[in-house]
Amino acid sequence: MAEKEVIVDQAQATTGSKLSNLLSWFNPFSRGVGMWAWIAQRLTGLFLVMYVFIHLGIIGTMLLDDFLGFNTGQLYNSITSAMSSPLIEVTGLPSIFEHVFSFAFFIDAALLAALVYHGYNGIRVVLFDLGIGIRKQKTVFWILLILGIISYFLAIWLILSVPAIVLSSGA
Amino acid sequence: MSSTKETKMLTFKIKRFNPAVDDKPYFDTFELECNEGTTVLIAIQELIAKQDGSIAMRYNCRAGVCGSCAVLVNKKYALACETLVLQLNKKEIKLEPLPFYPVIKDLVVDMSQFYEKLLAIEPYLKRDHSKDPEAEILQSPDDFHIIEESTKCILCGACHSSCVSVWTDKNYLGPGALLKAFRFANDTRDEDKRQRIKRVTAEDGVFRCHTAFNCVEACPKELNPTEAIQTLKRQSAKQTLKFWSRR
Repeated sequence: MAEKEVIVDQAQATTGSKLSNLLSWFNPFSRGVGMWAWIAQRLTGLFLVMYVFIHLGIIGTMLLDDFLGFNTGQLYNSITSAMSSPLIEVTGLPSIFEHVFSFAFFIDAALLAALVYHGYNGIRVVLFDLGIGIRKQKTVFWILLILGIISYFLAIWLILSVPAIVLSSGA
Repeated sequence: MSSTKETKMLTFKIKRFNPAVDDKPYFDTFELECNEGTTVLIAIQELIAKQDGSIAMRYNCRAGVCGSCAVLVNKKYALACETLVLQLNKKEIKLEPLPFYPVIKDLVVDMSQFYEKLLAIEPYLKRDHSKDPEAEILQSPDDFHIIEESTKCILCGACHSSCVSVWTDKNYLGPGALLKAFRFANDTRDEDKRQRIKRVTAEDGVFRCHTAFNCVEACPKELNPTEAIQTLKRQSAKQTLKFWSRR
């Protein structure tokens, strides 16, 4: 690995602390779509990384009694039922929206939103690295956002409808 | 000449700060009669002449060429000499110095870090002058077209002040210097392209750019430093890969 090469050696550049410089990212002055897209890209990226660890933790806990040799499946059953039980009791909904108020659905919906945004904006950034559409970055952003929203609702519809289809065909 | 001389009373809020006296920046409010030809710079000059002689402002050419009068006008980067106050369509005009730079006084900022980074990329033509022709070194219009836009940069420092990567990494070269680096690396008369690209490939070079497009939003000359940086990224990747395959 080559030695770190400092091109400019100067110390008087800093005007504030590292934290205040970081917080000034969110200062809304002279900002365009590109800046907010980039901030959202970072935040969704952080969220997705944290989600992976939470996910591994929960799945690990679910299978803990299997690992310890008690093959009861009690932990698995209790966690899945806690996840899928509704947070608010709402009656009279059509059957497809049965699980809309469960904790699991909230997590899935948030995860999908972050994933879809991060993925589509990732395509945008890759296009810029290839030198495509840099001058039309705002148009590219809005087109991909609309595509993202369409895919998001498609995915939500699949989440809600597929379990019912699978269950009915199985029975 | 236009006969209708429409005048309007406008409020100017100017961010004042004298590090020798004040603890914190504060806003001073002024009222001024403006007509359709009044630019922000003329307004400030009139305020200095008639209302408060202690306002500090840096300016020089008054025609958008020298790049010394870049300020934040209503939270937008602009050249004070090119911004007509009536076209802003606001009753109140807020003037602030460029953010991130240390303030010397009022609207005057210390831009030495920007110039230092500019010097780091060696912004002058490098070639073997012994082989130069007798007359000018000619360049074809097609070759000039590649770098045409980047030659229009007036070094006002607005892009450098707006860049998020500059805020959190003080060694990052910044969009202004990298636009210049693009301009010289792609100049067909320059013979130092390899070294120039190598220089911007370093840790504090082009790959610190996250394509947030703040520099494009900020540039008062409507240039596109991001495109130049992206081109440099591709050129640097190409050159580095070639280097490895030759070994």
